[in-house]
Amino acid sequence: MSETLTPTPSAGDDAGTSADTQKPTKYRKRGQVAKWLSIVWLVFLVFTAVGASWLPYVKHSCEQFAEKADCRTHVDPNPLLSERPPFWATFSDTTRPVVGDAPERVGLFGTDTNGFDIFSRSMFGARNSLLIGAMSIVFGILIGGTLGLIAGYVGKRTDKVIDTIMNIFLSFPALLLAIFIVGFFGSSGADEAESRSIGPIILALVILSIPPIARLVRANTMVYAQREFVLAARSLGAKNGRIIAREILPNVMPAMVTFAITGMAILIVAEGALAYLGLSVSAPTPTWGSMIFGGQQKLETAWWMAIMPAVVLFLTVLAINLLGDVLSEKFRIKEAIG
Amino acid sequence: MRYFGQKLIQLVIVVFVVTFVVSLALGAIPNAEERIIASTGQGVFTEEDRNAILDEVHLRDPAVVQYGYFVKDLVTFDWGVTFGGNQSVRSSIWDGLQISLRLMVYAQLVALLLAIPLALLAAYRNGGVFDRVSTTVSFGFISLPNYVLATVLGLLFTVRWKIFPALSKNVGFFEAPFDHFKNFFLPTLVLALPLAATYMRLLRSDLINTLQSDFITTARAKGLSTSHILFGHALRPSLFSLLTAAAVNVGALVGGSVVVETAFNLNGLGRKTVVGIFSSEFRLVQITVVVLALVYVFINFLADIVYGLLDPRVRGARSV
Amino acid sequence: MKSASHVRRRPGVLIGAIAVSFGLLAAACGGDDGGSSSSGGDTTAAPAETTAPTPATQPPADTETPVPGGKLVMGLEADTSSPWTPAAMVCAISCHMVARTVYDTLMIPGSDNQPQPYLAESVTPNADFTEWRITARTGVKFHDGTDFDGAAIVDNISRHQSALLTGTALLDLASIEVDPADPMTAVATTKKPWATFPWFLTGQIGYMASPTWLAASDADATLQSQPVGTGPFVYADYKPNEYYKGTKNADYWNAPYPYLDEIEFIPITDGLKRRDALKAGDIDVLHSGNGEVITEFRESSDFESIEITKNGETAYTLLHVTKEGSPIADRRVRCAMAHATDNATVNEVVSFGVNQLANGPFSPDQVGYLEDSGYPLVQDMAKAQELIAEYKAENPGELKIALATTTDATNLVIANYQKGWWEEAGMDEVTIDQIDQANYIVTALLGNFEVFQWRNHGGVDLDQQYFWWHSSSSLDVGSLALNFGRIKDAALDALLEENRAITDPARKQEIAEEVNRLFATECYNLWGSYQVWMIAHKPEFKGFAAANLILPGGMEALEGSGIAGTFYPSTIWKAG
Repeated sequence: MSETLTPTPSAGDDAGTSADTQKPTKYRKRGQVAKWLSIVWLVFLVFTAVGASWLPYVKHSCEQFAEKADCRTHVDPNPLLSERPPFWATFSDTTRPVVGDAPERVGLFGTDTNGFDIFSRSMFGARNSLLIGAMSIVFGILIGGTLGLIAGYVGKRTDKVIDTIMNIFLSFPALLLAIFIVGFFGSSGADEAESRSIGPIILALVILSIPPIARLVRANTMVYAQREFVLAARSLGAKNGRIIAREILPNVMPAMVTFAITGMAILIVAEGALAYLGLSVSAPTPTWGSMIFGGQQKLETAWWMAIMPAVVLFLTVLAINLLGDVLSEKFRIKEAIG
Repeated sequence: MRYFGQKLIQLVIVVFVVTFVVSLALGAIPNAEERIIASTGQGVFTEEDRNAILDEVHLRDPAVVQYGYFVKDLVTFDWGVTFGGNQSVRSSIWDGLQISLRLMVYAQLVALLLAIPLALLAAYRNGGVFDRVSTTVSFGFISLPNYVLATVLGLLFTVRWKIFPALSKNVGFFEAPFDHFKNFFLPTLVLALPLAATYMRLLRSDLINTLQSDFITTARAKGLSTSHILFGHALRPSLFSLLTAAAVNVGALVGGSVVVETAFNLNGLGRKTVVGIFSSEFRLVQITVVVLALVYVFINFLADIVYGLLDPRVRGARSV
Repeated sequence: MKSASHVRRRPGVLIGAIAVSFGLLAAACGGDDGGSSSSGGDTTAAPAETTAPTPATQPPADTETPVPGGKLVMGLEADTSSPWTPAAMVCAISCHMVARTVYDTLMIPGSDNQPQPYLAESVTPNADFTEWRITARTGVKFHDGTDFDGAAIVDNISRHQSALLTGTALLDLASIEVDPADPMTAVATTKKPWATFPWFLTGQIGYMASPTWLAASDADATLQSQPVGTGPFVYADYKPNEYYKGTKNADYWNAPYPYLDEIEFIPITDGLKRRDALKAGDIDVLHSGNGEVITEFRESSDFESIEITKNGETAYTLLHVTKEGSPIADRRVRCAMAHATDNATVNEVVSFGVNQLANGPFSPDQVGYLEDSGYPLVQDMAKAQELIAEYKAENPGELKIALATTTDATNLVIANYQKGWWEEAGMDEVTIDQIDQANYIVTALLGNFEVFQWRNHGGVDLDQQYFWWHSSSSLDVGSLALNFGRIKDAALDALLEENRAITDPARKQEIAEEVNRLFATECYNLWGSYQVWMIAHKPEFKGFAAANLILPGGMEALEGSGIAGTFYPSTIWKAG
């Protein structure tokens, strides 16, 4: 089914599904394949990202760390393997000197100017990109979800106040707001030379994700707040907190989860955009965005430096979107984004 | 009427908070004083000179006073001069706005021109080969971040085939139409493709719904031609959500094309903001952000109003 | 006008640093000449031999007869984005390229390695070099019609005295006044004998701007982006990050220059994109320090190029050497870092081997260069590990240092290599801090760093490095100071002071060599390489070699145009 499924991060369309119910089974099967491929890719990615310091197929130099979890980015530089194309790219040559018996082509994704293995770095980068995406969406759901529940359940003036606050956040073009936050408050620079850490970036992305989540949850809550079982609970004298937690939240949950998944894709893309503009976590911590940006200058002589991380990012976003699609189809969720 | 009133009140509150927050943001920036002094690059020898510069940006005044000056400068268009380069902030923002507006208009046009025919074709043979291919491809484009697209198109069109310039220049349309086309083609394409994918899917699903309604069946029964049914009957009632989305995107695109502007070296408002942040041009950044936010807010306000006028149910539903 | 108040010189350092780091901003393709620009005496005075493998460093002047007309578009490595008033300009290489179109300098280095009068009719000292008489050339007018005279010289130079950047270079200038007997002559009185004073008139301090315009731009800041000088091209238009345009000054005093009708500069910070722009025909000429670009154009038959290797700046890694509790304050750690460094490989890989490795602050054409300064040019990891082990034996605990770099990709590549070497040498962790440009400058000035990538120290006379190294500009961390590394070394101070006071070339050379050795022994800085600059252009444009500029006395200008990576725009012409 997934190939025709709709609610997409930027679109927010939800129709189509009703019209697509009469699909031949052949296409449904193909959709299943896509779904499973997505799951396999994401599981592989998460597994590798988490285990990057231990796994044999990820190159790193974590031996020097007593506690391997401390090893975040250590891939040994090697000038003798600078800018090598991937082993399968027989149509590309390196422009760097090939000294002695150093191979002409190395690794699944090739190497960058430092001789870092791009596949390994992409996996270390996945750690950061996925972590930033996940953390942001979790905080976004906690804050945005709570606001949405309150606004939708209490209504009246509270609703209006929250709605206005959300409107204020929404009144900035999203990426520009993130740039503003990260750019001005990202690096302290006050006492020590200090590079940008993960905190401000997550903060910026959380702020981006709160308003749409709040709106979605509010809309859903309003629907359920008028339903018989809620009214019944209320007439039985249940406390508001209990009604929200026991009656409404479970019903709103599927929409939230689905949104969280597509939202995470948006946030991963947004983090990449920040990195692309030079405003994400500082090196040597790799992120996909900064790898793409770093390789962009070398498109002519070493295309793989930018293209390979871009492919990883694209596949990940695609897989997440496909899964989100499947879920929203399952729950028949009306999206209410932005 | 109550609906419009409330929207208006909300608009005023939003405008107030946006300007207030942006005016105070300056004071919260780490090392703001040093950075301003550094970026002015003037002969700051004495404490007095230093104070004179800092007083000019009202950095040390109380919040309310700072806000007062900010609003006064904002409404009188007395936006000052950039620290470095000594450009009038007003003309700098105006230059950037022109580029951003151009990109926005081109991207919208291209996206709509691509999306509408594709959606019509896909919806008419719903489930057919073309429908499946186009929806799959559009799903791919929606999942394709614009900086990835810019990188790939850059590799193909500027590095490999050398058809388009790697760095776009802001060549006026009337100066040199062909150069103008060459310089704006890739940025427009990068903005337009994902947008077209979004629009296409939106319109397609609306069209499918419309095509199932009774009046289309009636029209079919009357033996009207396919194109007559599609263009004459189905398209117009299906355009509503597409146009809403397009309207919202007007505001989003003006400030949201920052990545594309950076990738292609166009000095639009988004890139000016990023460069401004790196070079501590706080004033330029503040005003750009406020201008963009205001553009965005007003467009959404207008969209809300039009929406309310067109669909009376919204007024009731939205003013809960 | 913020005239000659001598109070509180200290904050004046800011701009010098900005000039330096501007180059770092552009360092994707090479470097800048921040050091020399800030000293205002960016000059060449070197023997004619070049060192890098460059066959075409000093081509003879083009023999064909130049024809007037045409337009030149140049790709610059950075936008200057600064006021164009000479005293406030933040002048790196790109800035000098632009400034030379609109301004003339009072003097220009001649092919005899000495400053020669250019816009000045004559520059003469008294017997003990404490008084310099600068006479203005007669009949010269600024673009706005203002006459060029002694008062204009005084106005310009006294503005420098109170300027942040160049003021530091003029601390020993007591006063400058118009000679009451001769309105065309300015008399500069110095506090100490100052034999090298004319060198300062060949650089930023030598640029003469119209006093009328300067006064007007004091009142209206927007005018500061519309410079008025006496130069070969009249300002036409300027947009930051987009272009600077000039049109031919038909009444240029030094006829037959200029040949071109129009000149335009487009900043393209990325060296590889600049190359693509030249190949695509968007620009006619570029300058680049990027090894990849230089290698490509050396072999290109479609484009012509000249290379400039003289008196350029040195790329190096700056160490904060007096920070409390920092391992870098220990000489053994610093020298271990030097030994662990494998610049040869990096030069080969990153710069395609075009640069010559540096063993000191002075490039082979500068006074004080030594074949063997004692600084290790070859990696010796065993030695490095030994030194680190020795330090660790005395100072238990983790040895961690922070390496600061910019957001530039090439600088990051180098930082990654450094991290690898130093961790191999036995450091427990080297963190890399990427700092964006605006903060990078402030960080350096405040001294809030341990290890810092930098480029600096172009120039001719050791005196031009005085304020970068002297302890008088080594203030506490947290105060703005030009001695970024906060070197406090009595021996170094003594050498610098002696050099400033004397004129004997033999002794000056001894002193400079002594300074060179001292840096090597103490490992105050980790030397990288001497920057090579290339100017690549379309073949129809001619006249890029400095020798094409004939000074009023009939002498040719010195190769390297005084500042590596630049040429004299007035001599360029376009063949039919």
